[in-house]
Amino acid sequence: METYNLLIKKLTMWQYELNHFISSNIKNVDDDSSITISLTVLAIAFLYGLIHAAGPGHGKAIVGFYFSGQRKEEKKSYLQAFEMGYLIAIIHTISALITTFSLYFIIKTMFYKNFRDTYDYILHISSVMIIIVGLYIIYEAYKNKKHKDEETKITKSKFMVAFTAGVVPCPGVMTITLFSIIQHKYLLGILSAITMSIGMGLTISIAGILGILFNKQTDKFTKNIGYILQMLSGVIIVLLGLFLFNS
Amino acid sequence: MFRLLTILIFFFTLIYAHPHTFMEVYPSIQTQNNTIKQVDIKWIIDEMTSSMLIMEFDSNGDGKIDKKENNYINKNYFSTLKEFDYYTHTKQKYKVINFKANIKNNKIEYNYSLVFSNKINIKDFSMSFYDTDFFVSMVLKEQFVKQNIPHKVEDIDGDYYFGYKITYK
Repeated sequence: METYNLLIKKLTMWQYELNHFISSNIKNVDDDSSITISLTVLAIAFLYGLIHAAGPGHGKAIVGFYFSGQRKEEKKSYLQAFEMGYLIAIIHTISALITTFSLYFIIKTMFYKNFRDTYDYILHISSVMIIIVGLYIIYEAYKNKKHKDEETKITKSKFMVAFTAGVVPCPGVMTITLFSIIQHKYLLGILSAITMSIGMGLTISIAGILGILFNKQTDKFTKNIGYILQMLSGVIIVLLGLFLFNS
Repeated sequence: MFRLLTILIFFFTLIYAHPHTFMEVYPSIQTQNNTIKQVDIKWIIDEMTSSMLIMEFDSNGDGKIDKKENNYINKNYFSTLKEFDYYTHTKQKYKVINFKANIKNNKIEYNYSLVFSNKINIKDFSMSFYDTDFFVSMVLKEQFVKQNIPHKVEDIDGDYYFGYKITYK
């Protein structure tokens, strides 16, 4: 626990430093040195995304539990974890860009308050969706107990997991995008959001890989009760949804 | 072991929120005969968040916060932090006075003071700065404490948040 708290402190302080670095560099982008500084900002945005997603949230728990609960015959390569991680990151970023531009150009005033309210509002909707996905996984597990799986169902639940985990806009992406808009660096803002999401996607994918590794470990003990593991992951995802809804 | 570790990582990464706004905290204490007269606190909000806030706070665009704008910030933003104890936690009950917002180096600064109804000896006093939602990360470094009163700055590891505590001796 102490080690984990230390990790959280480190991640927080790195973000504090990177946040400062990005803001001061975006401001300094001008015609003379724009390429070098812009590339530096994008590289730092990637690192910021990587570290930011390593902190809590961003659907890692859902992805981890999803992969840890898949039955042996449903498991694919680690590529699937990357597919899922980047799908979430893309949805996460698109959601953040849409929310930022909508708030900036439509609402304009009370941005910060709306920013936080919108985040809370979408988080609640997302929590309900997470609960539904969990229930769907439980239902799938129940059916799988009787029948062999169908690929289409797995794909369907995979997209549902990615959508529910990613739909909550990332305030980190929103902040960088908005800051760039205010500085009239529209392209750099959007590119920063994209590179940040590439960093986040990598971290979320690692959560999926951990889930697959966990699944492989438990295969040794649960050869014939894979559906129980799948059901358990569904139950945990439902509990996560309930927890998020009440937080 | 691996199983347990994986479960712990997933659970703990969920229950912790993560910060999107960073606020530097600069505390300063006024004392008289080892008794606290007043605690003055300054927050400096990170530049990215400040840029959002300035867009709204500096309604006349003069780069300053005038009285009307200050009242607006106090009413719509600062006062609403009361439910979070202004991210400022002490054992003793306090009243917040003298709120004043500024813009300096493209950053928003909040200045406010704490006053106490009871006499408090400096040696019995400590303050903690944290947001239990951890949407805001309070940053208190040793060099932010500008005074000669002996003190100690420590980390606070809450179950859901991370913060700092300053204890006076």
